[in-house]
Parts: sequence; structure tokens; C-alpha cells
Amino acid sequence: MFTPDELTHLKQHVNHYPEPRAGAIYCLYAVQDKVGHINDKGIEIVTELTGLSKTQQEELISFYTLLRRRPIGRNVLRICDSISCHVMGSKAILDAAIKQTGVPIGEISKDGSVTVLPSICLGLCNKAPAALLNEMDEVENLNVHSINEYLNKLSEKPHDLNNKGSGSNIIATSGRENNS
Amino acid sequence: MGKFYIDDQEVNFEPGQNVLQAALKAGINAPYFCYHEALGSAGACRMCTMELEPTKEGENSRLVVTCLQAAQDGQRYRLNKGIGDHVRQGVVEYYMTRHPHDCPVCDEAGDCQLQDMTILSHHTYRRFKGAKRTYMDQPMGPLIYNTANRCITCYRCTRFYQDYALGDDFGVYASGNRTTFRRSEEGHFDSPFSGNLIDVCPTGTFTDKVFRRKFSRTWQLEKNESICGHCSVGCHTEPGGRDNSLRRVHPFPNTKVNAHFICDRGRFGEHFSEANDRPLSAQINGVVVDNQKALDHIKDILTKSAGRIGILSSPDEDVSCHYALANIAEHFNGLFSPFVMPQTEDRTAAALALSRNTPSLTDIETADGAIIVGALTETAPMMDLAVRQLIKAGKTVHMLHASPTLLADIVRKQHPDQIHQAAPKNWAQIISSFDASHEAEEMGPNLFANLDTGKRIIILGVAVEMDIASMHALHDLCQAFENKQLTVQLGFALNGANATGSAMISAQYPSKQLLDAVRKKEIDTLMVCGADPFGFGAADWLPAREHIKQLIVFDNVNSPTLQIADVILPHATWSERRGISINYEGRIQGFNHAYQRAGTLTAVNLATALIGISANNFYEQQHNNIETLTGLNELHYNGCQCLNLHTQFEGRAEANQVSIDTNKDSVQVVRLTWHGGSNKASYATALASIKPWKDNIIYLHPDTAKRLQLNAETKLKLGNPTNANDNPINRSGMDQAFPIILNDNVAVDCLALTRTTLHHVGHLVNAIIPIDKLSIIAKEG
Amino acid sequence: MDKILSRNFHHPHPLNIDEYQQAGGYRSLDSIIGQPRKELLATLKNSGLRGCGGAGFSTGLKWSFKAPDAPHPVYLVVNLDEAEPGSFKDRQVLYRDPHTIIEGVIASSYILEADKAFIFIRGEYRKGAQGLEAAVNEAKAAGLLGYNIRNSGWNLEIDVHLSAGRYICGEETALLNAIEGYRANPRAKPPFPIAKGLWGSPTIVNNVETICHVPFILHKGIEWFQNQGTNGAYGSHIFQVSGPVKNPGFFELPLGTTAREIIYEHAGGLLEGRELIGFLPGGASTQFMLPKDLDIPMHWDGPPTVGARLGTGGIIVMDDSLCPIDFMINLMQFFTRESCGFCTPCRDGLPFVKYQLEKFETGEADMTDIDTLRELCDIIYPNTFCAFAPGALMPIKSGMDKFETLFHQHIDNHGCTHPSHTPSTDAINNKVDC
Repeated sequence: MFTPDELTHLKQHVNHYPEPRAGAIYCLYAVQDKVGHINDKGIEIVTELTGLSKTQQEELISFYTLLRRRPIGRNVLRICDSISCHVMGSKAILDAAIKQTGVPIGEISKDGSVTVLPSICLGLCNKAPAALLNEMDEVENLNVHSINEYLNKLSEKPHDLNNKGSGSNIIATSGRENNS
Repeated sequence: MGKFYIDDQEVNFEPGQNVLQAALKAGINAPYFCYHEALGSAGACRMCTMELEPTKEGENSRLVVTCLQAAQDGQRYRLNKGIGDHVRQGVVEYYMTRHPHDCPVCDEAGDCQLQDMTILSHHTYRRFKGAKRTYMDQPMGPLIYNTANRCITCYRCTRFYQDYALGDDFGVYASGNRTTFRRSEEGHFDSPFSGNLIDVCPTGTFTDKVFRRKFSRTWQLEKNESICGHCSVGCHTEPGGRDNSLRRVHPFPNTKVNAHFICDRGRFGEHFSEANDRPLSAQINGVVVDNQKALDHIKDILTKSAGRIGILSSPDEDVSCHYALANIAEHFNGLFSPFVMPQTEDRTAAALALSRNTPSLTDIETADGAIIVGALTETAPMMDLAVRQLIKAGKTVHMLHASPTLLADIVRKQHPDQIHQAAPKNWAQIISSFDASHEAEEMGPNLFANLDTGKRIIILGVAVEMDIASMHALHDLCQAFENKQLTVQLGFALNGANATGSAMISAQYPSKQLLDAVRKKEIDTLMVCGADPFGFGAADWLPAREHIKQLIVFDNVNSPTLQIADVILPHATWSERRGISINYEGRIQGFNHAYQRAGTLTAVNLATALIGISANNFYEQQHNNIETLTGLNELHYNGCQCLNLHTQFEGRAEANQVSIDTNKDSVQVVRLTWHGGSNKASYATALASIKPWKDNIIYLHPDTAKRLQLNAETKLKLGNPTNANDNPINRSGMDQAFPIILNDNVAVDCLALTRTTLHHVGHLVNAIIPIDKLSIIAKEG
Repeated sequence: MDKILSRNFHHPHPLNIDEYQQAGGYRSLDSIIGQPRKELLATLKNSGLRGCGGAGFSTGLKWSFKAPDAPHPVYLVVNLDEAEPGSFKDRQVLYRDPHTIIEGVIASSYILEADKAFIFIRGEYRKGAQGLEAAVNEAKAAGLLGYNIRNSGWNLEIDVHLSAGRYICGEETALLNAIEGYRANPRAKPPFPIAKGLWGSPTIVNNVETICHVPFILHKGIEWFQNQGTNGAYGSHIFQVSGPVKNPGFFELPLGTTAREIIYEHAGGLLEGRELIGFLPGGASTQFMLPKDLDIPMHWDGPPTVGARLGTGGIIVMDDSLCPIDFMINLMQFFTRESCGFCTPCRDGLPFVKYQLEKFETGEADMTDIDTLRELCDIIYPNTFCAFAPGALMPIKSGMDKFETLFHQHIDNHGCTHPSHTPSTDAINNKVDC
């Protein structure tokens, strides 16, 4: 899953904390960035790196919202349903997204392009209703029309829009593996 | 020491205690869920909320979570009088928004902290009419039953399992009101202490699956304080039985040995008494007879064979049993032994003689460092749990072992450098290299070099795995540490719950004497109690089998020896009888039957029937005997007195010191065992079903396999046991070739075999086999 | 008023270190590093700077609780886990001017003698975290971080920690658990983090905005800082306005500016044809304020005069397009979902509160339900492990007081008759794990 350089980087990251488990979130992120979710193989690697058992990792994954154990679509779109977006009509946006993807919230859309999730406040309250694509790209001032358009656009793109690995050290892995 | 008040009642406290702790100690019926004496405070349940009265004019009273509140002199709390009661009602009502109303069918009902606290908090009427959140139950193996909906999320289970017992295969999942406690996969727990989840859980979320199959309302159980008969720690338990059967085992709280917990061997292993094939009636030549008839028959045999009689007991039987059998043997001019195998007897006696200020479990928990030699978890699990408290506290624990052991896995995870893996034949040498007086690095690791003067180190050895030379090496190591102004306590985990009592008695009744007499054909009538000479004692005893003309077996398990007996008598288990056991510390502990089992006999019954000694006379005589033997006046059986092991076993560490064969061209046989694998517990069906090792397989380190040129396509034949005395024994396994399994946690140059495999091949534990005696066979097909 | 935190926001891109220094950045360190720490701390204490995370505790006083002989390592943790609904001020600084944060961290760490600073950033701000990390690397290369900074004999490292989500991580002790790689359940206090925090070492946790103010106060002086505020308050604050207003956004204004000025002048007032019903002054976990409270100055002591609190200064406007009970149900949905699940009143009590509120909306409520709801709030509020549930109940408790007639109307009308009413979003609430 990881190149030797990436593994060295992860090891260094884990070792720079007083206790190895502090590096767990970072390593789990790295796995997720590679695979799209945290798979069993990734769990094994993180066990090697941090000493945390599968259960102990799942304790973390099931607690933290941005970590996921199950596969998602090529993209994950988090639509804010907290108060500022709610007063601006986020419920209609979520309903529209459910209708458009044809699957319930949290499931992979039929074409595999996206998983839509409700989200807590994204800090985009001034551009409500808002959403966040792949934890990176803001989608702002949504309305029922624009969410449909946006989802269509995702559907048409053959490759995912994931660009997390670009140009930074925060969870520096070289980009997502093709997991089709 | 100070005092505070709860509803005007005075409560005394010690410094460092919290308010709840002191209140409970004072006998106040204060409600709580998540607090636990051993696990401490969490502050999660909010049930122990009380109202703290203001100390100054003008201040308001405030709500205080008493488990997180340090007790302070003069404070006044309101428990039932203030608004705290209102709060607790609320808390229980919130629990009930999720907790099912399944009390009528819940195993915990009637013995349930949630029920008690619901009543105590005066919660009656539920206003929440919405849908209850539900969870999937998770199958958790044959020992523990999970009903996830009943969980009230007090976190006690993970606090025990992960934080206290250092397990890592069970935890807390999700968050908010979706929080649930489970494993990553279905199936049984890895921890040898998982059964304690049943006790720490204040609801019926984790219940005893073995108990569930023969459930009784808990208040209808016959219960009594008993001593666990499954290892030399001798934990206090409370077996509960009904209608002639054991239903469950609980730890007996707050004793000098085990304060709160027991291991799974103690809890589930005791159910060996419920095995379907347990002998529960007397038999003569395969025909079921009543006990009296069998006793008459035995009396007849013993009278006729007087002078040619041997009676063999085992360290798994208690002192009273030994004395009664010894009396019978002497009456008929025969020999008696409480040990089956001389090697075990020698090692047990030597271990006791070499113990120094033997540490109690509490001593272990509170030490500043430890050295562990051998598979401690698999021999005395509760000692391991005590060592885990040291590890948790960040103390240094070094470990020397040859066969896989769970404790080593835990140490290895954090400090791989503190694991020393080696064949037992090299242990004496390695232990000597731990010598703290060595200055130079290359001379040895110089353990505990950074501990301050006055700190206390615990050394624990597993006697059955150690040759006497390595025990001496540990003893010498103590001296070296003491020279460095460290306090050292050395103790050994022994084989057999009453190993100490048996070793005490064996001074008068050595096993070698009995075994030699059988081999010399001086004995042809053997009565066996609780021992298995022709099964697991085969290496020594099987060659002598043909000399035994009449075999009487008095036992409570269907052992290989019992299966070839001429006469069978059903023996009561420890839970079903009265007795005295002496644990590894030399602690003298009496126990009484917890429940009745009709049709079983005790050794004292036998003595009455066969030699006419009344029970009262027997116990009086026994009392005098023990006083004489131990030098203790005013002998008590409540576990408060300890033998002076040093004087009791003086001189017994010198005997039979075999010179160690450190020949490089040999491999050593080591025992491969697990926490459920002791003599009796291995007959407990549910526990035995999760045994991790396979029989008739040889486990070895990849390097050993390489050296012996073994791989998946080959099998290994061990050949003739070298230590079978004069007559080579004809074992089925001698000519059998066994497949191998690689395991990194077996020391190099060791072959790890289960007890059953050992019995097949006829080798003693730690037997050394020259490589040229091994043969490698290609797998057929 | 001088713009401080947002002074560089007019640039099209975040400034790199050269641009930042050209614009006067890092100059404050000249008057800080090498100066006696005691005096710097005294200045800070006297300046009147209060924690901008929402609690408003005096920063200087808090820092003075660190024992002078506290063992090393000492950690500074910068709380950038901004997840309070309606708050987006920290995000702006992170995304638009990361060097301002680093300057604040260096100055604060110097005073505290911290060996290492963790900047804890919520996972949803990942892009910002990457920008900040790049800026940290620039600062490192420029010798502003690392070993023996400016020959002061003091070393500092900055760790940009990307969290993996969840509101509770913003609670300071939960945040420490999150950094250590545990589930982010809050820890019991005492011991307070300043005595025993990360890995048992002294740890100071502060909101990022607070940290950003520090170098400016020390550089420009108390008098300057105190002049930045108005209506008796000191310093500036990034106010945020969201909801149905013409110009939702963030505005760095003097602390103490009235709500009316913020909403109607800076945010442009409500959308055409909408009527103001009330507003939350500082995020979801603050109490409602009413149109009559618009002239109250928005500083630490302003909102409390009408039973509210300043919180984060993220004003959420509630207009007549929505039923206030629906508004409250949404808040409770947020809080029940985000409860960490540690203590009972929060974990199991808050869903009960939400259930009670929903009864009003669906028409199942009767008069006893008002009492039940009040009783729930009264029991849960003072009896939870951390400040999460009390915060969650602030809008509910105040909503029940301020919109009491509305609850009665819902009972009388057998449910919500507001034109916007649609069934509750429970289906979504139950389905959030992936």
C-alpha cells in the first residue's frame, strides 16, 4: 500500500510523539487517503506502526467522523445540516441529494461517483447552505438546482476529484490508489 | 483520617479517598454505577451525585459527583434529603430510554445493580415513549453472552478489559447514544480474565454463558466461600450450586489473596465437575454399584493386598485428602505419595525452599519492577494479572520464556528489548547474566540499574518449567540485587493448587519411593486419587503399568487412568467438600463445601469406611499434625497465616540437581499450555473448546525449523524418550511423526508440545533430545 | 480601530513569509523574545485580554497558573477545532493569513516557555491545515522556529495536528485525548491541563484568536489594545453573522459593538420581507437574544445582562421563515449527534430533550410536557461531565423562557402550524456513521 519512503515518513511521524498511539490518527488518515476508506490491510499496517490492535483502531475510527471503515464512492460530499445552513434550507439540499443519487444518505450512489453525508457545521455559514467535497473543496450557496448540477458533474467525471496529497506534508502520501 | 457527614451520618475517611469510596466503606447505601473499587472513578454515570451543603453563609449548595470529589474534613453532603435524589431519578430515567424492559427473562434479574439502583433512586414512571435505540448483540464465544441493548454505558467493561487487564481485543465503539461495547470480530475473548466482565458489568449486558445453560435464580443458589482449586494462587471463590450441580463461580470479594477478580480458568474451569463423562457413581469392573458396595469391595482388596499397596494422590488435591489417604496407606502398611512425578515434586520443593519473602498478589501489583521466568499466564493467571498492574504503571518488567505466553505478548508490544526468549536449558546461565553487580554491558543487561535504593523488585518463576539450577540462579540474583540495596521478593508459580501442602507432606511420603516400589514390583495394588499416572504422568509411570494388578481410581474427572481402572469411586470436587489448601505463599486456607452433590465421596469418607476413623477424630488429628509440621501455634484456616517456607523446605533445593546438558546439538521439549489447560480445568467443556493449540503438532521457531531442515512438507519424529529409566516405554507417539507449525514465540531450539502430545510421545517436560535422535519424514501424498 | 487579525485579508492569496514580513509581520517578536517573561505576562494580564474561544476567561490570569518551576516539556495547544455552528472566525485566519497564527504561537510559547506547540485543526479545515503547515516550514527555514531561537536559549517546535472530526474535540481536555490518540472523551478536572495535560506534562490550551492577539498586545502596548474596544471592552473581535441576512460574513470590529450595528450595518440587515425573531449571539450553545436586545454591546459582559453570553461572537439570525421550535430541534439534533457518549445525562438525556421538543412539533405534547422539558434541562444542566450538555441546553432553556407562548400554541394547535413545517429529520440523524 505504501512506498518505502511513505512508510519511513509514517514511522518517523509516529516516533516523534512520546507515545506511538498519538500517531494513529495520522496513519489512519494516510491509509484512508490511499484507499478511500480504512481497509483490513491498512489496519494491519497501522498495528505495525503504532501497536494498536484492530479493535483499538476501530474504537478511534468509529468515534471520529472523518475516518471510515466502509468503502465510499469516488467522492464524499458532506452537506452541512447545522443551524446556519438549516435556516437557509439545507434540508431541501439533502433531500435533493438523496433523490439525485437514488440511494439513502451514507450509501454509495448507484454510479459509484459519490457518497453523500450530512455534516456538522463546516465553518461556511456565511455561504449557507454549504457542503464540502472530499474534506477539501468548498461547495457554497447551494440550492436545489445547483446541488443537482454539482452531483451531475461528479457523476460525469471519470476520476475522483481527490487532491489531498498535493503540495503539503499534512498526511503526505502520494495520492489515492485506484481501488476499482 | 478525617470525617465528613452524609445526611448527618458521620463517615470516617483516609487521606486520598473520595467521598463515594469512604461512604461505601462506611456501609452507606450510596448509589453508583461506574465507580469500582479496583477500577477507580470515571465520573461517567452521574449516579453518585450528592448535594454538598454550603460552608459559608450566602453560598449555595451544589451538586457534586462524589466519586471524583476528594473527601475533606467537616464537609456535609445530602444523599436522600437534598435534590441529589431528584437528579438520580433523572439519570435512571435517561437510562431507561434505551434499556429494554426484559427483566423477566434477564439472567441478571434479582442480582442486578441497575435494578437495585433504580429502586434506590426511587425512579418509577417512565415518560419517554419514543423508539428505543437498539444494538446488535455480538456472539462472544462459549463463555460470555452479550445482550448489547442492556448496556448503560458505564465503561466499566473496557476500563477493566483494556485499562486494567491490558487486553486489546474488546473496546468501545461509536459515540453519543450509539456507543456500544464489542470486539472487532465475533468470537471468544483473548484475555484470560474476560469472565470478570460478567461481574464488573452492572447490568445483564455480559452474562455467564455457561451459567445460562443451567440457569438458576441467583438467590436460589447454594453458595459458600471456597478456594479455587485450579492453580497455586488459591483465589477465594464463591461457587453457587443447586440440585446437585455447579451453576456458576464468582470471586469472593475482598480477601487477602484476590481482592476483586478471578481468572477464566477459576471461573469456567471449575465446571469440569459438570462434564458429561464425570464419574458420579461407583463401578466395579465396569459395573455400576452403590458406593457402600464399592467401599466394601475396596476394603476387601486392601486387606488382602496389605503390604503391597500404594496410594497416589496429586498436588491438585487438598491437605485433608492427602492425610486421609496417607492414613489409609499406613493402615494397610502401604506407601503414599501426594506427587505423581518425582521431577515435579523436586521442582516444587526446591522452588519453595528457594522462595524469598514470597510476594502476595498485592505485593506484585505494587512493586517497582519484575522479572518473570516462564509461562506465568498459563500457570498462574492471577499472578499475571498482578504483573499487568506493574506494566500499566510503567514499571519495568523483564521476561524470560521458552513457550508462547500472553504476558510476553504484552511486554513485547511496548518493550521488545525486555523479552528474553531462550530454551530452558540455558536459563540458569542467562539468569546469572542478569546479575546486577555486573558493570560491563557485555556481561549482561544489568537489569534495574536505574532503580533507586530501597525500591522493590519481584521475581516470579514457573517451577514446573525450571530446572533446579535456574531456580538457584534466581535465588542468587536476589542476593545480587539486595547488595544493590534493592528489596527483592522471589516466588514461584507451582503446579497444582495445593502444591505447597503436597510438598510439605511429601517430605514424609516421597513420590520416588512409591514409584520405585512399583517398578520393583513391591506394589501391585494402586489406589489413585485425583492423579493421572497413566495419562499425563506416562513418562514415569507407563513402564510400571504392567506391575499393577489392581487399580482403584477415586476421582472426579474421566481421566485416561480412570478409564483403565478396575474399581472407580466418585470423588467430590473442592466446591463440594471441606478441605485445607496451602498456596504458593504458604498461606493456609480452609474451605467448606459450597453446595451438596449427592453420591460423591471425600477421602475422609473413605478413611471412615476403610479404616474406621471418625470424621471428628480425623480433623482433630489433622489439626495436630499440621501444627507439628508447620510449627504454627493457634492454627487458623482463614488465610491469615503463612507457613515459613524457608524453614519448612530447608534442604530440599539441593536434592536431585541434575547437571544441565547445554549440548548445542540438541533440542529441548517445552510444554505448550494455555490458561484453560490445567489438570482439571481441561475437562470443562466450554472452556476447553477455546483451547488455542492443536494436539499432535510440534510448534517451533522458524530458526529451529531451518536448522532441522523442516518445512510444511515434512514431519518430525521424536524417537525414544531418553529419560525413561530402565525400560524404554512403548508409546504410541514414539514412532509417530508430527507435522510442524512455525511460531515466533517459541524459543529457538525448543519443541513446544501440548500436554496431550507430551503424553503421546512419553517425554518429560524440558526433556533434551539430541538432534541425531530426531528423524524427519516426508509428508505422504 | 486597527484591523489586527484580518489586516492581511485583503490580499488575494495568503501572504508567504517574505510578503508577510514586508507587511510588518514577525516584527513583534523583536519586542518579545529575550524580554523577561514575567514582565510580558504582567502586561498580558493587565491588558484585559480574555479567551476568545467562548468562555472569556482572562488569558494572562490563566497563564499565570502555570507553576514557574513547572517541569519540561511544556506544551502550548492552540485550539483551532472550530466547529461551533455559526462560528467561522478561526477559519478565516487559518485560510487567509497563517503566518499571523505562527507569530502568535511563537510569542505565546515564549512567554509560557513552551517547548512544543500543537495547533489542533479540525479535519474539515484540511486545506487550511496544509497552508499552515507550509507556512510553518517557511518559518522554520527563516529561523523563527527550532533550536535557540534568536539566541534566546529557547527552542520551539510547531506541530500542525489534523483532527479527524467531531465537535467535542474542541473541549480542551477532550482535545488532549484526541492528540494523544485516544477517543476524544473529556478528562476529569482536576488535574487541570496546566498542571497535567499532554502526556502528563503542563499544557496550556487556548483558542487561536486569543493567541493571535498576544504579540500585538505586547508589541503595541496595553493602551493601544484597550483603545481597540468600545463600550467598555478591550480589543477587537471577529464577529460573524450567518442566517437570512443580506451580507452574511465576518467583520473585525471593536469588541463591544452593538448587535444592531453588526447585523444591520455590517451584515446588511435581514433579507427583504423578513422579520427578526431573535438571534443566538455566539454560536449554537448560547442563549437566545431578542430584537429588543439589539442595542446591547457585544462584549463579555453585554449579553449576560439579558441572560445570554458572547460565546464565539458568531451571530446566528433567526427570522420568521422558520418556527423557533424547529430551530431548537435542529440544535438538539446537532448536540445529540455530537455527544461523545461518556456521561449519562448528555448521552441519554439530550436525545430525551430532543424527543420532548419534537412532541411539540408533531402535536403529541400536552401541558405536562412543558414541565418535563424544563425538568430535563434542570437535571442535565448542572450534572454533566463537561460543558457540552450545559451549552447544548442554553438555547433550549432560554428558548423556553423567551418563546413560552409558542410552546402553548403548539399544544393548542396540536403541532406546528408554521408554513415551513416539515417532518423531522430523524431519518438522517440515525444514519451518520460511514
